[in-house]
Amino acid sequence: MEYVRIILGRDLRSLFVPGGGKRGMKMRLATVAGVILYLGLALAVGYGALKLFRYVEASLAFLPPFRMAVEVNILNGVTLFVLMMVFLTGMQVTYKTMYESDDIGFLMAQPVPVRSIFTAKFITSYSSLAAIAAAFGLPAWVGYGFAVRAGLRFYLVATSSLAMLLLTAHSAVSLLLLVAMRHLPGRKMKQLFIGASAIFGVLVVLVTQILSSRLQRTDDPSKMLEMIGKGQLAATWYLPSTWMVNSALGLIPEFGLSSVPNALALLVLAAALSLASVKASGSHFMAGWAGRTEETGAGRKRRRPERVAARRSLFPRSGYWTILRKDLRLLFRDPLVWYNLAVGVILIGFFIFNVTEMPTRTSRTEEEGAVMLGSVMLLMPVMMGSVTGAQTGGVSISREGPCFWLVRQSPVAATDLFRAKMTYALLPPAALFILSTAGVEMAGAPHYPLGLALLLGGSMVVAVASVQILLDVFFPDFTLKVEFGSAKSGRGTGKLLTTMFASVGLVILLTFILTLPATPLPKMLLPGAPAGTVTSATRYAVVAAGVLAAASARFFGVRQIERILADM
Amino acid sequence: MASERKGGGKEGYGQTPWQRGTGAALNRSRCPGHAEVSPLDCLTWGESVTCFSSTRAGSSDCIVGSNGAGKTTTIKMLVGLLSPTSGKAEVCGVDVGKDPVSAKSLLGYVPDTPDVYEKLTARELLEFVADLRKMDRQRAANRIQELLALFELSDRQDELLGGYSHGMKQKVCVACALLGEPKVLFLDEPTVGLDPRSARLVKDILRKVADDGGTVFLSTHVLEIAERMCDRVGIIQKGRLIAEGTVDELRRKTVPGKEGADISLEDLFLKLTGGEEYRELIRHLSGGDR
Repeated sequence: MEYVRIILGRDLRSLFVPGGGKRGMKMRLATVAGVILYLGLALAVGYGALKLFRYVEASLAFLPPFRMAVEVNILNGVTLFVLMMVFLTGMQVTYKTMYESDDIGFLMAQPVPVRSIFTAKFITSYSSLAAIAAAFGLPAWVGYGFAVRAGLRFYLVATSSLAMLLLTAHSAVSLLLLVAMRHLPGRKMKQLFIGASAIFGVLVVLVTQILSSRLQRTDDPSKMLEMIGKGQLAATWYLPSTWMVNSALGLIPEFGLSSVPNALALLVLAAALSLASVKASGSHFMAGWAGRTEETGAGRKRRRPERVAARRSLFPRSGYWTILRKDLRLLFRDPLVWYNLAVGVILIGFFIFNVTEMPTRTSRTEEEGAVMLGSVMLLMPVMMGSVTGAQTGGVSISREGPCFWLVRQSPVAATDLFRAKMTYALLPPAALFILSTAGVEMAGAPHYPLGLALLLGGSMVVAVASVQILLDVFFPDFTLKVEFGSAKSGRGTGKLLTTMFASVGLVILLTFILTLPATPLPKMLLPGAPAGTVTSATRYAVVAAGVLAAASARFFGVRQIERILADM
Repeated sequence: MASERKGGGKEGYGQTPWQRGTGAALNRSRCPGHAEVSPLDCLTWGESVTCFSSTRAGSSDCIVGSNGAGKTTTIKMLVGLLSPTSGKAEVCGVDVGKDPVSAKSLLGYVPDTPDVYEKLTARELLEFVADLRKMDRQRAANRIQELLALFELSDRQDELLGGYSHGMKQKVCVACALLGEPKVLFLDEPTVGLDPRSARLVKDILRKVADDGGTVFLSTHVLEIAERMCDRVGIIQKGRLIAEGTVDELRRKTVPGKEGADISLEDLFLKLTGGEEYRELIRHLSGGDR
């Protein structure tokens, strides 16, 4: 345990005391910002849960069995959701912490038992996952506790049983990783995880969208309850998440559940699995770690030279086309883009479907309704596109990473590089937007006229891509390494979040401008202005924002790229 | 007064030489006339202008120095990846700062770490470089196959570079630099990470490039490479050029007389860079005093 304490102490120090200088200060600020963000999220979820449970308690007070069924299902659902999130991200978090940490090689070379290194990394990855649970799962339980005025024991048992549940899941994932890494070649293993995580993620999105779509289109509350009641505790007695729910709710007498056996079962399972993984690490961890970069010899299909030459001759030999083609080639070999595209298409598809099928319950005037709906129909795809862009084309300069020397030492003009990166930043959001517009047209969903939708949506996409490129050109982070689901080992997380928030903020601002005619604001500020004029003005403003952003990006971006190319 | 130069070299390279450099061994107030192909005409270090003697066409020159001496920074400035705080870097008479595109089309560069796009194949990467250099497609295709064969990578040309070893990536980087048949080839520690067979191959290729009229300029801290491969050697220390010439010239200048003729480049290097005290220290640590 002495070694574990030393390794963890060093990790903690490097997290909170990352060294002096500008870089150290940046890291400290990022840590503080992260803690504040997590606390904010936890508070928001907790407050939301408190309001929800108070509402349920009050509105269903006359029907106790019904109320209890609703509460159990909500809490069970939240716990399952957290468990799913942990499983979804847990594979990657655990893999990266245990097999890709920069210090593993150094630690392995020291006279430290392998089990101690594994245990330290096991605890580190568990802490990362616990942070997710602390932000999303625990606040729901605390909110419920406040709503029913539960005693201190309830909070203690809820927290510790959630911790045990996480430990169970984490130990199972670690054991699986240990065995798989020991017996499968490293690269193939990684591909397997990326593929499995992506498919699982898309499936989760698909299932939740189907459920929420069905719920949205159901007006009958009893049918709604019947739907959410399908995941009853008795039917899922074998799941550790059910044991967790039973342990905590066992302390609320009216539920009639027994806390001790469930808590004990959870404790025994968590202890057994974590001990088993630590024990297995002695024989499996080092071999798996050493083989993580084993080559599989997998190559790409060899193409016939004449076919390659014919395909290459389609593109001009300019710096613009060459860089764009390279970026697109890398993009299509990145599972992240396929995952984002799949999630985006599913979300937009269900959104269009729901809008088409939804009964109209609006009390607005016809024009206001059209403005509102048209703007929301633009918001959704542009938002999805901006999130995808913030991880792909929008950070394409940073994504060059250490390979940027290849472009920098080549005879490439700054204008060509800027144009290539700008086009690249535009492509993912533009693709999602065009796809969505086509879907809206085919489904016959209410929206702006096609020409207007293309003009407004196009302007929004251009504005967002321009801001992303400007941010990337002025604040590049060449350590950024985006892999499926997240920045690799936290590298460049701040950069990704900044780009994402700036893009999403801009999309919301532009949508707000478009929806202004449907709000009382114009009538308050410009009492005599005709409604048509206000509507036109807001549309012109959005188009102008797109043009202005593109012109600024071109003007400032090229100058900054010249600087980056010459001196970095 | 020169402003602070940000560390552009390897990690650990400090900014001080750029601030305090007040003249190197070969200070000249103005650059002398130089040959048509001269990778380094004027380079300002600190407050004074320092010139390496113009590197001639068909020669292989190198700079030698300890870790953090400024070798990588020098090469990065010459290939246009870093701007000198003051002064200018010229390649074949083209100012790298003023006309980077023209200058870069004349040179090839191999960095000290072979960072390449891991999701491209070797062939795709070479095609990318050929297109950036606007090479004729047919000529490029032939040259790519020649280079891949030369570096024994033909069989693996359609594998992603992520699966390549360090040495193989290094060979791909050298192939990228040679692809455009540059007039001047800059290499930063070109043999690091290569197996003996590949290192010999690279050395032979560089010699051939120089013999064919190209100019090779490399940095190394492997003195054996400097001695065997390079016509002229520049020794830099803390950002200053402290000696420059052929190995024989350096011997004569540093240790005059008959004694100087037999001195190894390693001893010469230690004499010039003041490393002799380390020998004393090593002798002391290994119990030589007892």
